Amino acid sequence: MGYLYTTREKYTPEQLEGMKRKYTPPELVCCAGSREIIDKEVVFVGIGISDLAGAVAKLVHTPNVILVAEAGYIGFPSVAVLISPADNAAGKMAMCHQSLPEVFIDQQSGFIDVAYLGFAQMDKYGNVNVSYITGKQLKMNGSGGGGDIASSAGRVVYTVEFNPRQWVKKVDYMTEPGFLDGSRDARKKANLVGGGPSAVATNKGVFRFDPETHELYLAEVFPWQDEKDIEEIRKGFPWDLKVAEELKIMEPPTERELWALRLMDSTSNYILASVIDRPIGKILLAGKLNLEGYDEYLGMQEKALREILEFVS
Amino acid sequence: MPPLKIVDWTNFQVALRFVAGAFNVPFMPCRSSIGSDIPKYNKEIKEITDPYENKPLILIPAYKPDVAFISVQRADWRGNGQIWGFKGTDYWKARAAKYVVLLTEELVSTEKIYENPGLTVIPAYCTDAVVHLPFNCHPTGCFGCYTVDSMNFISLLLQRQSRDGALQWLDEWVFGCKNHFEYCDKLGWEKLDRLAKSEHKLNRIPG
Repeated sequence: MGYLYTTREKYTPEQLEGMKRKYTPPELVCCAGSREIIDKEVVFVGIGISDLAGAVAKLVHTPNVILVAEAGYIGFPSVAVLISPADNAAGKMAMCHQSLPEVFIDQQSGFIDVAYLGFAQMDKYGNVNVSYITGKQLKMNGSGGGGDIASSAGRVVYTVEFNPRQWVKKVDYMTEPGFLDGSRDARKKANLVGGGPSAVATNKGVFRFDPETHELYLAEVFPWQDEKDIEEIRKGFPWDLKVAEELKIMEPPTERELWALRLMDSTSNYILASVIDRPIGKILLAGKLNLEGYDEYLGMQEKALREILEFVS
Repeated sequence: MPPLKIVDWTNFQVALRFVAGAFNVPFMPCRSSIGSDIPKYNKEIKEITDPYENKPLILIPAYKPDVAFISVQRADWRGNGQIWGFKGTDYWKARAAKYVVLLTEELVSTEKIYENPGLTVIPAYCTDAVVHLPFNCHPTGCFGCYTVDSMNFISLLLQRQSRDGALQWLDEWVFGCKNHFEYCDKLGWEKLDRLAKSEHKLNRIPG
């Protein structure tokens, strides 16, 4: 896991400065997340960013993983980013078309080794809130399947863009159980099946959980992140964040990873943050909610599909 | 109408409500979300110590809807429903609900159903009515039939961000259309065909 390591010395200061601005935050998140898988594992993917990381893993690093999507698709080669767990793209060349309860039953029986999820709030012990923020004032779209996945998947890799507001002393609502109160056997005592969170892959580095104390710590950073940046990250936490004694330096996104990302997200709906920068925003702003616009948008997806099908078949 | 009440369940738990309904038992047990806040705030979920192993367990109550509208790719006039692609919770719902209406993309003869009996996940005795309604999933997609209409989705999401925009959308697209075919006319069949063409590059229902 996380095997693409390097040293800072490999790069000149100019190169590091250039790299800093070369990648978008979602690209960094997906590439860092994709390196968390071991080949031949069974991987539960979410949608958007939490699917892209799994797709890059399947296409670039670990070709023998079995991808699983919640609505019932199992063992697909990943031909496009999933925009919902029921996305038809997950059905293409899948080895099994199932139903939703069966996927979760299989997970509760221990067949899912690792799952990708996102989150809005997380505490020191990896407990996650995706349901409400500001007390119970604002409803978010959780739990979805997140509550089940965090309970029963072998381990969970969270993929999120770093935001200091997402780290809290206590989550407003615990949707997804992490290591609960952090005590040694908390998950076992609760009778939860899965092993809990294993990593949080962000654009500011990868965080892991101490095997003894179950406390979150900073484990890996990108080569351009210096001591000052790490202090800046630590300031974003409401507790004294620990940093690994041997902080690992990750490789920046590779050409191959970026190739997979661009093909998967062929209409840049996840790689670009703002709707108006994306092709769909531009087509809509041009007033082309007509056949011409549909041709343009679907054509982009179809072109990427042709390329990826050539690769996977 | 009473105000909307928001209750939190996980996806597996909602699915298990239909499974319990289909089983005709009052609840199904599960191990999801033990120790989290979901069972704490949702009083319909019971946390028990199971009588066999003496460990915490969560009970999910059965749900039996009055009516289930289920979209299928192919059905015959008797009500045998065949589904390609993912099944979601469809065949559990068909058994949990008191009445079942199949919305089908294609209405076929029973002989056609006999060709692939393994795909019949909703047998005729579950079904009360069949409606032949092509493109009934729009703006979402239907496996093997048409892809999701992202263009429409994004533009309606943008419009529905304000309450006024949402009401306007309802007036125009829901109350403003007499039936589904008027909705398709308004949207434009050539766009729907384009979505079908795109899906056929991914998946196709054999003829």
